[in-house]
Amino acid sequence: MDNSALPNQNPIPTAVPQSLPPPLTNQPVAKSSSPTMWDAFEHILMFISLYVLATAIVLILNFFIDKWFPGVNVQSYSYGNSFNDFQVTLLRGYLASLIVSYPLFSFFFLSTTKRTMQNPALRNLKARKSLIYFTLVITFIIMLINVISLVFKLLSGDVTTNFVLHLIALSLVSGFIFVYYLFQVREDRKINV
Amino acid sequence: MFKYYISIVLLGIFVLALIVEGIIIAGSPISQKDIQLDNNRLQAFENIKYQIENYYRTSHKLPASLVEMSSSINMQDPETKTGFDYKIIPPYSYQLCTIFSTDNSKTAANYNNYGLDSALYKTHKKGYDCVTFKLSML
Repeated sequence: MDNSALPNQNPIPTAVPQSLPPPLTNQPVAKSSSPTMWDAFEHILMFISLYVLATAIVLILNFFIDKWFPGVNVQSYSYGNSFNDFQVTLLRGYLASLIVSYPLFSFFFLSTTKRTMQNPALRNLKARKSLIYFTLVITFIIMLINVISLVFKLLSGDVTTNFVLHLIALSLVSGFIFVYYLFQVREDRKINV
Repeated sequence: MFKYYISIVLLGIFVLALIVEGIIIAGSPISQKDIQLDNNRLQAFENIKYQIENYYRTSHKLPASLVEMSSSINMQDPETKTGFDYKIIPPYSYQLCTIFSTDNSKTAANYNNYGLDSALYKTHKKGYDCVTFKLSML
């Protein structure tokens, strides 16, 4: 039954892509490609998985730094390179969130980027704009606190390799996100002006 | 679009490296299962030890076999589901034996047992091995 029905329907889908106009640029956007609730939804999920992914990466990097470059606090002095069960359990938690959030982030990131490139009207999506600015503010605050704590430690004279490496790991991840979305904002403004 | 795919792949390689290194530190899931099994065995030994000491308090001798003690605790190996071997070493010591899945002689040495004769801090080899206990009330 299904097989006999299929050949009748086949010509219709093959004809559709040929009749579709290429989805291009500054033309008034057709109703079908205007931003929908789905785009806002995808952006929200993308940013949530970005936060989880970035946090997991920083925490895992911190764990490795503590292992390879132990600090001078009492705990690392007494226990050296060995970790207690609680820390290893924490590491498993970070690994689990990394394993889960990376595929989600890649999927939503590629999907939103693709749709934004095909349809520049998406750059004006309110959810996208608010999320980008929210992320910029958060990463800015993180980097601000980082630099303040660096200056504070410099002033009190207890800068260790361990501390500087922690700082670099956090600044690299938050700085990367900050710079990427700063460029996105500039691109958005270029298109709108 | 191509550069976005490249960056996602690069990020993926980085994430994979973190995961591999993390699993090396945290222990692979398979070895974790063996460690859990051995922890269960040592916990069973600890429970049996208390039963034997209780038995000694009431009847002033070591039990001839583990089944002689009427108790509700689990005296079976968590993996093979067979009973543990029990040997008396006169006058006041005894051994509990089973097949262990891991060698904990390196990791157990890290713990300070504060002089306790607890089974949980005893070392054992991989394979068939015995843990020796001494009656603690003597």
